[in-house]
Amino acid sequence: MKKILSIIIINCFILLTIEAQTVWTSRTNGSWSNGNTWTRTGSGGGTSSAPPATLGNNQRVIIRSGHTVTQSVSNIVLDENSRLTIENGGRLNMGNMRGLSLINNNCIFTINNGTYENNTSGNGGNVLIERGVINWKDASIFISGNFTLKTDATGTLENICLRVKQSSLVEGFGSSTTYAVIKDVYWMSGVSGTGNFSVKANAFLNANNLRVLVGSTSGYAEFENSTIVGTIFSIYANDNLIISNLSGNPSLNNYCADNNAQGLGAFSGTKNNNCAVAIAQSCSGIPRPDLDGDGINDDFDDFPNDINRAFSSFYPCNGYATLMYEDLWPLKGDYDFNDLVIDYKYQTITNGANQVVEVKYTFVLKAIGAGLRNGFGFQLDNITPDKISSISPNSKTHNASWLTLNNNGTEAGQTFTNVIVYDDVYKSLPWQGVGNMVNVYMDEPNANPYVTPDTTRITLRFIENGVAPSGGVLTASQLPNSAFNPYLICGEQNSMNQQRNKEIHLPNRIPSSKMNTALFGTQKDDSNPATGKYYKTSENLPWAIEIFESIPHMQEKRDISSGYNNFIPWAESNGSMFNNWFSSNPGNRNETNLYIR
Amino acid sequence: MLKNITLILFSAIAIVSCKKDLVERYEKSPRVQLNKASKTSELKTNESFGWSTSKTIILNLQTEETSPTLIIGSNGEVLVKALLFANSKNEITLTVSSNSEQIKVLFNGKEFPISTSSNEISLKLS
Repeated sequence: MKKILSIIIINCFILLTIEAQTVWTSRTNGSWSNGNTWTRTGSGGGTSSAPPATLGNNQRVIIRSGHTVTQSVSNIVLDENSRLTIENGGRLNMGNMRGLSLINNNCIFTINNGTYENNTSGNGGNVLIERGVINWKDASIFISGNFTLKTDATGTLENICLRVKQSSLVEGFGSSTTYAVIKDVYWMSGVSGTGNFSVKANAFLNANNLRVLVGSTSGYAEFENSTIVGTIFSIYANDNLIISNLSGNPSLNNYCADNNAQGLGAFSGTKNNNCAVAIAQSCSGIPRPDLDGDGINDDFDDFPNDINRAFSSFYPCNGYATLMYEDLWPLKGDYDFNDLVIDYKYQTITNGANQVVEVKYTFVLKAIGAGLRNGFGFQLDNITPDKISSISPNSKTHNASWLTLNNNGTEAGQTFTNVIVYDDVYKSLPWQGVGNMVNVYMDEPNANPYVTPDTTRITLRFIENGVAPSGGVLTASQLPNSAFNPYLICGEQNSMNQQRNKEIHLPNRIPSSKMNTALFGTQKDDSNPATGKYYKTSENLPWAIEIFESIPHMQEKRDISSGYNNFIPWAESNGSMFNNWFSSNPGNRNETNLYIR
Repeated sequence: MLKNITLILFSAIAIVSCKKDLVERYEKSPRVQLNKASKTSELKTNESFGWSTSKTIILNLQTEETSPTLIIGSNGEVLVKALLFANSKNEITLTVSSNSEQIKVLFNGKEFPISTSSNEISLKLS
């Protein structure tokens, strides 16, 4: 009985010990501070579904294989008995110059075949290993600030491509009883131009094939008051190389210093006199992880576990662009540009050969200030439909009689790729008040209630599962952003139908094959296909405009110049002045005429 | 007294002349083209004006090493990620805000700032 009680007590103790730990394990790509990125287990400290920026006692974060976690809001701090682990193919992306620190002797930062990076062009985002242990193996590290290793820290760096944008300071890393291990490390400091590399303050290093490159423009390397055993393969400094009071008698195979080399008595290496050639800013010689084998190292690969995808680019790079239409073409409209208002963005994904794999479009139908039941679609200029493998999911169409699709989902009967997003915009953003307009009246909210914009996502697959379409592949340069040619399909007067042969495009954009070109040059339109002039009046006025960012649209019957004070000066100066007329800068907007929710 | 009157007259003529000259210069300057229209329907713009709030830039990048590159916008945003092939024509077409004045090419840890005042830019990365 006593024995059973003892076992129960021991088991309870073990369970309590286990439960005392809280673990956040990544389950998808996402933000560090977003609970959807993580699965949380255990109950020891912290109740948030996302880990705190400062990890405390018994808190552990694991970034799993293939997941990219981004921390752009706060620096990450490992305190007390905390753990941060980046597993095979995982990636921690520190945006906005955020940094990372280990400040307690019991914390551990492990990277096993993963990546830590600062995805920023600025200087900042220091990494400070003040205490604790780092165990980095087969890893790619990019630090956009300084990298500092202090006296109370130790660990192992093995098979590492380590790029430090500013300086590296190894100040007492390791100890006389436990040397820090640095094996097969390609350690670059000052990759932005200037930065130094210092080993000092009683550092104890066990080096094996350590390659140090300092400063692509200038930077010194110094080894002072420390002990290094083993082999330093090379030290290339674009400035001075200073060695002073260095114990351990390490061997040095090659060195280079454009200025002075001091204290080399302990070394017997060969001097290379051409630092400029030697200091190549790459990790050639050190295997860098490329898990999917697509030829793009994981530190650059947006899809490190997908051989068919490598890079991801967005248009616009932040947020959405706004399209605004007048729909009475070829007659003049009222220039409130709200007959159809759509925000859009798209993500282009390419493979390791820069070939377009897929483009993911997002359209947000915001407002309809029209009596006509218009449609909306887009053309990819000069891209034939056989370049598309498939389109999914289906766009917001409702079996319009005029719409026939090819097997790949593009519109039939077109020379270039055309995709119909909405065959009738009112079916996707139905009016819910008086009249037949949506989200263009602010003054009578009960009669004209706000309708939540419709969001439609469409993916065009060019290469599907690694298989090219019948028309062959496209490189990214063959599908520039300028190929995207969105247009309104005009509704029919006094009808619920659309006129498929009547399109309204942005100025000087070509129509699709469905367009009735006999309409050009009629009424107020002054299009002339022979000169490349499309969808402009003789005064050069457009029927559609595109804004490079998302902006509020006009209320009904209010001229765009009454909401955007610098629209007319911008146009009259032919774009040379007030080219930020649409921004929220002071003086640009008169919000009383805008539709703002 | 006569001297004072003469001085005043000369001063008045000089001021009127200066004012007239200033008015003429102002009217002939590009600024005078602005704010003539009170609403959009009254606008008349050059045929070359494209009503665009963005601009397209074609980059031709040459390198002796095959390696990935990042094109960074003026606010630090990533515009394009691509692989540059050694000794090949690497053409990248970008769209940036018409306000943008500079972008950066990041290649092998180095930054190459580029002015966006030109529509087509060739650059050798080394």
